[in-house]
Amino acid sequence: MDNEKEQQSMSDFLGDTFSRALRNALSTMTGFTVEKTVVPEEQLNHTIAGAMMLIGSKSMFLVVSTNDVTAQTLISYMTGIDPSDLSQGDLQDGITEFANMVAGSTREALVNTEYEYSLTVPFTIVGEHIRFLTKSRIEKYHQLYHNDEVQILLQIFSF
Amino acid sequence: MIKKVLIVDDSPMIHNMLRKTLESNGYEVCADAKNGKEGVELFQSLKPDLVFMDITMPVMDGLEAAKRIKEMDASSRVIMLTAMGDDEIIAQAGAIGVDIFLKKPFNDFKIVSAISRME
Repeated sequence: MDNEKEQQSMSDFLGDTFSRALRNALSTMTGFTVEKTVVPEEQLNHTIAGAMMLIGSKSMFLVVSTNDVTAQTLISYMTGIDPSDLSQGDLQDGITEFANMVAGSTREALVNTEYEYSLTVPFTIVGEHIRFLTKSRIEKYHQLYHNDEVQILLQIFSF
Repeated sequence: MIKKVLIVDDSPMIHNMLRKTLESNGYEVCADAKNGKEGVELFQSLKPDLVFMDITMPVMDGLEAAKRIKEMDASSRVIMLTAMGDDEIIAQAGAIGVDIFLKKPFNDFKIVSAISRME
């Protein structure tokens, strides 16, 4: 399945709701506005991901991933701490907390819809070239949000 | 008057964000707690004017910690700050006596406005 088809396979409503939550969290916490585009995951070297299972009648797996440079930029904006003083632990915690906020905001927007879900605890995934591979029956929403300073990949796997 | 603030959250980033906002607006962060149990203990020993409390934390969650703090001191002031913003949780927080319920994400204005409403 190519990226355009992946993008179209999930409900526009659901994708738009997650998208709004991510953009709102980003602009509220850092002031950044971002464009969105579809970029194959293999072209990105993302090293930190915050992930959560979202359990409902339609369960989902949410992943927000980025690279170290973006994580440093975002967390520095949010905390006022110089990027060079941030530890890997700070970056991992920050991206995971960001994913938690996106999931929490989206949950609120989806109450009383067919997509309503409960949150689970967030996980942090680290490593070089993080990629998520799935079985063919899993629907995938995949968007890169970016500007000149940051890039964040939002992926939702629905099953 | 609110001066001393206790932050209870398991995320170091949230501690750092709140600390930046609070200190740049003249408040003193008297301690950071990583879970509800630590928060209750620090509340008892430090008697802060205000507590910022997350909900989902290890060891003891924020609703239980807020309940214990309110039982210890009914005049204590607690702001719940969480990504979990659904009506059921807001109702539980209200029943415990949480003063203000704020949803993440947040910015300086949201935090300072909430404190101003309590002064």
